[in-house]
Amino acid sequence: MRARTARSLLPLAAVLAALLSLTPAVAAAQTPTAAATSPIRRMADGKPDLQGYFNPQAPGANFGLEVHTAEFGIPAGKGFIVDPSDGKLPMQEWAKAEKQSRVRPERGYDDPAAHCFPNGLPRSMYTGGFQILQPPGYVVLLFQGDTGPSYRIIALDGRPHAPERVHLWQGDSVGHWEGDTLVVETTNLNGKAWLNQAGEIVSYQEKVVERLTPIDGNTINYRATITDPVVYTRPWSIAYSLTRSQDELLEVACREDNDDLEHLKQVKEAAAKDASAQPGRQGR
Amino acid sequence: MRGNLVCAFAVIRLLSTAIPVGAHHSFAAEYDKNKPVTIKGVVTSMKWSNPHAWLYLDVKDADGTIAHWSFELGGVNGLYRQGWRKEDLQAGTALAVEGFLSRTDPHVGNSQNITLTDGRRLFSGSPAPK
Repeated sequence: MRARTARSLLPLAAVLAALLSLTPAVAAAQTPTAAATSPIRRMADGKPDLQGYFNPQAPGANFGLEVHTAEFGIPAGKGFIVDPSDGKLPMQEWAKAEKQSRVRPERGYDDPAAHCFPNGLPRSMYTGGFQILQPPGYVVLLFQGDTGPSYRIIALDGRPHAPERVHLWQGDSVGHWEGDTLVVETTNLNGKAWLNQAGEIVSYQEKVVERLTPIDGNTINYRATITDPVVYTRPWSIAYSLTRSQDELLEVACREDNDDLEHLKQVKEAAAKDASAQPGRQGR
Repeated sequence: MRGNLVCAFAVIRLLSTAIPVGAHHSFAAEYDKNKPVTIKGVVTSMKWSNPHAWLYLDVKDADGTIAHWSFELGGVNGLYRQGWRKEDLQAGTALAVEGFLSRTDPHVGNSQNITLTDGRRLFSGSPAPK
């Protein structure tokens, strides 16, 4: 546990220093334009400099990773699954049934995001822009997110993962460089997060390997491979680009006034009441 | 102030179809697609809160009875990035809200568009229904 504590504390000063250096968001927040193509930025040690604010180019992913058309309250998505080649999640049969259940109105309350919990992986990586910092020995991701601020601290010193008994919303991430690609392996996920509002699933056995490859000074190719034998019949991958923006993090205090949660609870309770009043109907 | 408001409306309309709006909860789970509404009323207040802003209206029925309505808007961040400012909708402003009714509360809805008495429309930052 000592290593875990050290990991939490060491980059803090660097993170705070970087945050304090951010200029007021008012002007910049309104100009989220990507700059023209430029060379890959480099740190003093020659490694790519990924620092800055990036937006995931994954519209609709938070409503389903497969290709889907627009429905009521659901923007269309072009699909981001690059493996398998059919673009479909290779779900176990039980997972297909669970996913179908999760899109019923009364299950909206069950999405941890509605309760403002962290989004987990890879959902954190496509639900809004985020800031990348590179203090010595680490890559730090700061998420504004739609569920409130969260972060990932990725150690680059070759340390092992946290013990198996440790289960975290954002998991335990370690990384290394392969040429210009930052490779990040995340384990110790708690399996509670949903992948999106379509109810796509991961479990406590989820393992994620991400590859972040800058192709110029303003664009990072992002690919994540998810292995989760409890839910899926084989590993699968998503891919999209991250584009640099002049935007900056803004506060999202998700639990400040989460009236939606009470409304969703009422929907769930009403469905349960209906189900109990109709013998033979399966309720949840 | 007036100039800022007009500018904000222009920006909001321009960006409303270009910026994907995040949501931390399922829109379809909370609101009923079979209950679209257009409600005309007078702003009593707008709450700039997380994870969603809320617009409160007084709505006069045919018999003169006042009903208090609440409409959910997009998150404060999203509204801000789309040009909204705290001063934009003052108490006393007359407007119409197009949206969808809550599944559970007859005086709660989600706002999709807001139209002022002079015809100008604002996008409310909620996920756009099909």
